[in-house]
Amino acid sequence: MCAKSAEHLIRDLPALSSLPAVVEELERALDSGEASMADLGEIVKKDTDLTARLLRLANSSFYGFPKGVETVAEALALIGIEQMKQLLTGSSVMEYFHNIPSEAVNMRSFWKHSIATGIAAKVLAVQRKAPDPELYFVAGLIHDIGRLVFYLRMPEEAARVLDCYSRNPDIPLYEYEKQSYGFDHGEVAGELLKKWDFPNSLIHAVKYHHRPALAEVYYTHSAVISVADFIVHGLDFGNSGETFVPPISADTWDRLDLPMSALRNTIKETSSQFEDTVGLFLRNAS
Amino acid sequence: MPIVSTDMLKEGMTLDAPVKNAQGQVLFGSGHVLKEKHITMMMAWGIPEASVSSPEGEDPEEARRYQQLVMRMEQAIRPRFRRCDGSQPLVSETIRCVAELMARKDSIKPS
Repeated sequence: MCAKSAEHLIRDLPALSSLPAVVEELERALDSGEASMADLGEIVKKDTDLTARLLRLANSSFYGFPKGVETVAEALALIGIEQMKQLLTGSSVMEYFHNIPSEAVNMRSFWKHSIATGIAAKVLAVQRKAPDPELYFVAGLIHDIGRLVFYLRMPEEAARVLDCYSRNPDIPLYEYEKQSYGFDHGEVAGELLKKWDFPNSLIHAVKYHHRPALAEVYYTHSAVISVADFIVHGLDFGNSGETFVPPISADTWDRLDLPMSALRNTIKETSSQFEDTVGLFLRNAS
Repeated sequence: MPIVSTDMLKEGMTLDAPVKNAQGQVLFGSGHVLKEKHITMMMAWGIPEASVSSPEGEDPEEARRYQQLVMRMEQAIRPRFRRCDGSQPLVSETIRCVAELMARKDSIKPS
């Protein structure tokens, strides 16, 4: 396939599968205004897989609640329904790309990089006192899916680009993409998320994560993902496809308006939450 | 009463000033002895630092060995950052933090 634009490349991709039926039921119960947290917990319990994941999540280092969370109602109250929906959406995106050929990319390693970027983004967002840290986690989790679209839609061209890159990795892979296709994986992901009706803040965070200065709105969102991606490349957790840590402009960090101690916190927290969170999102984690 | 960044706090250290959240509520009072879960909570709440009484167990020889280990780790990871501008504080501090993290992991590895 020869794509004229990022929009053209994603045009025929199917829709993202809808969230579990239980989520719709939860929303209806919430809209009624009469449901208690215990009622909502009863609805979630109808989905055993979701129940197990919710309890694991609430008891994981991802949240770090000091006391053990034993009931679904308690987990829902602590995590929040909107936040749970965002995390389920992230899982749906991961599921969407389950059939990428293994010769194109090591998916386990790809998702490990993405999960770590999500953690780092969430930790940075918490320190910036952002009201929606889970949104940043999801943005980090899916920030590189444009690369998966290349492997899915243009496997031969993508293999050629990777081959060129492996012979001269001094130029970042996203620059090779721009030179070869005319657009990079961030732009492709941006178009796909637009098609799937994701919020604008998340679209911008992902689309401009290598070039936050180009974001006309939601600059800080894209800067958070950019810094998180930089940190995770530095930690060498998983593999995005890049051999070296991508360069980052000094302005990207400055605009987050965080002290250097926040960088230290982010690196330490990302490292300490990494294995636990990989276990939550990847089956048979290792 | 040294101010210690949250990521450098250790279990067993004693606070000599209250730790407060962004709303000014006291999370841990002065004299509180920190446990690992308290440090994790402080991280989660984005509290950058705490004032503690003199850190215990600082052996100068051990500290010197640790600093050497950090320097070796820095040398090992610096090539990863070859496309980055090392004069940027973000880059140099990230190299330092990742090296310290690796050194800590290495120093607690069973020999």
